Amino acid sequence: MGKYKRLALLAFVLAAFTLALSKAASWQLGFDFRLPEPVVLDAEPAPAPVKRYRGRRAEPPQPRVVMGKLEAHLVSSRQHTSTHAASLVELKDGRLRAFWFSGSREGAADVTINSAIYDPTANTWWREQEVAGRKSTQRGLHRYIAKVGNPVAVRAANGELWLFYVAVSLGGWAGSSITLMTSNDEGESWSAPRRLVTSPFINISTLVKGAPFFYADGTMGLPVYHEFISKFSEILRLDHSGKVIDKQRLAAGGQGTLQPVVLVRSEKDALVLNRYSGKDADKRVVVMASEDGGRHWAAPHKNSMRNPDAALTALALEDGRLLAVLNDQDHGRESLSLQMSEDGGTSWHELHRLEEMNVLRDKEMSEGDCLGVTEMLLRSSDPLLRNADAEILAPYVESARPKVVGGGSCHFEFSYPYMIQTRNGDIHLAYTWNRTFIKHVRIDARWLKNRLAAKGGQ
Amino acid sequence: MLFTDWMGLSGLALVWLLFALRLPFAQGLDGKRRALLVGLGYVLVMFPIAGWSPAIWLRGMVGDLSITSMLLLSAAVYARLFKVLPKWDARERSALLGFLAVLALLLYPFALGLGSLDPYRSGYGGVALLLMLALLALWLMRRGLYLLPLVFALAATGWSFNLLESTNLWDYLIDAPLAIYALWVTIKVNLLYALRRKRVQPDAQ
Repeated sequence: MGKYKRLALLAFVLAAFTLALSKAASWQLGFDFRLPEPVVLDAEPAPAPVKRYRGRRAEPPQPRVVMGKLEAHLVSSRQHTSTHAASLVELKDGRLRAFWFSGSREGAADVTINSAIYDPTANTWWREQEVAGRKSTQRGLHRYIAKVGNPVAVRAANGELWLFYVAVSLGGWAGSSITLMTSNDEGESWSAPRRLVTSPFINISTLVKGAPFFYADGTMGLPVYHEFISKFSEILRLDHSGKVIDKQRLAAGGQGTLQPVVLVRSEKDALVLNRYSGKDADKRVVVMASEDGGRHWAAPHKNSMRNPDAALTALALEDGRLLAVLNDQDHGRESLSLQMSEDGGTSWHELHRLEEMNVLRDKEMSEGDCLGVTEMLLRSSDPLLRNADAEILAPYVESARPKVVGGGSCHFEFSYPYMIQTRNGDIHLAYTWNRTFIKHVRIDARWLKNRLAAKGGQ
Repeated sequence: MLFTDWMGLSGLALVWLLFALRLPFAQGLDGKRRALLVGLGYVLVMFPIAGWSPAIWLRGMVGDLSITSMLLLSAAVYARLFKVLPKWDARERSALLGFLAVLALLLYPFALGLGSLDPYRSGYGGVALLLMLALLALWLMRRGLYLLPLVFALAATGWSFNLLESTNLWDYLIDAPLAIYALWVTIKVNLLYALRRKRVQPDAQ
């Protein structure tokens, strides 16, 4: 190479690295967590005016006992489909929007990401709509896409709704990468999908399941996990435009951590609960904690919660107590339990059993008996079905039949819970109901308060 | 289509074009016809029909290529198109592929979960990684090697201007197909060298 060419190359190298270093120098990562907005409880209903008749009370005064509400609905309305992996986000007007995936079977090419809105005033879910699918994702990403799944929605710092979901071009779920779409009209319409690049190996094997959280500088933490060759949990950090600006590994491969759920307890403290998908016989939730705003995470360890290699969900209440929903059993996903911790996640006890079909596990049952139990479960899962005629209920039961009936026993599954707390203090939970429907449980602030008071300190 | 999509697809179009230029019939064509083949081929592999094109399909399979791969592919297509030899000699080439092979061994096993440390993280705005590459580039130039410094500078420039979909500097330097190619060539060359030495040594005694 001639002298002038060498000089030109040297000038180019110096200019290129000066430019890159100036960009890197502005790449500041602040740590510390941002706490969720404070809950503003709905006003207690005003006591009814005491009726008086000729100066005397009409009735003796009654003690005002408000137990609150725990009520369930079916979110998804399509029948004879396989549904899974729901998430929830509160809209600006107090309604909820749910997302999940639905198709002929998990991983099929016809699977779409669907969404529906819950109106708490009318106490009902509106009809579901398709938000994204394999073809729309392929068109937007300009790359071949074989299947989609696992939608997770969040309100970004700029007020937009962001929807993350996984897209696979090759192989199983371990071949996933994360796709992001944004909406500035509360999910009525969405931007073209954009792919997050999170892994050097053909950008495969980053999946999303847990709810995002925020750092003090407004950047977003997205709990994700890796499945290809080894399994481990990670946190992605996204800037205000949704670009990946950092990635932290929470556990080494081989430690079997998946689907992390981040609980922000203060500006400095956070706890991560992970599904355990390792080989140990002792299957319990894996925990790691940070005490410096997310800069460092302590080595993972197992806590007291049982975990049959199944996703869980959790959130931190304002008073420091923690709530979690998980399959509290050693194997299978036939039950679902709402649990509470008052000591920062060290010990947990049950507040309420949301589903309990573990008693029927491996028991011989006829098809008719299975369908009878399914019908009973459906009636308790939605007020519209509670007293519905058999004709109305029949298609719902038939939808569940392929999942529930088989091999001389019943197979129930309540899985992939996703829980949020809305601004009025209500807790909303969505989960997969026998891979047939998405079920929503609304726990109002009064029910929670009474239950926490009754069960607290056990 | 975003610019980053066009970059990603164009990089993969180069793979198809190189494949086409290596076909026997293409080697018999004159210069004008080869240029026509490249032009038409680019349009054909890029232009989607019913949402599908060869570049779109390949992008799903292998992801976006790095700036390094694009440089090497462009040089190979150029050499085939104009029937000229590549600009850099064997020493430059083996230094580049050897470096990429070592980089692949340092990056991929750890990025895929070996241990708790993830080297890929250093590519997100990592000043240390950039400084290391800059110093290495200057040292290599003093040693009379220019291809690797050019690759580093192009990767750093590409990262500065967000030319690819990724925000991580590693993705501008190396990609999985290039890593596999670099490992294969490096192992093959070293094995052949070792075998040749073994054959030559008995005669020398």
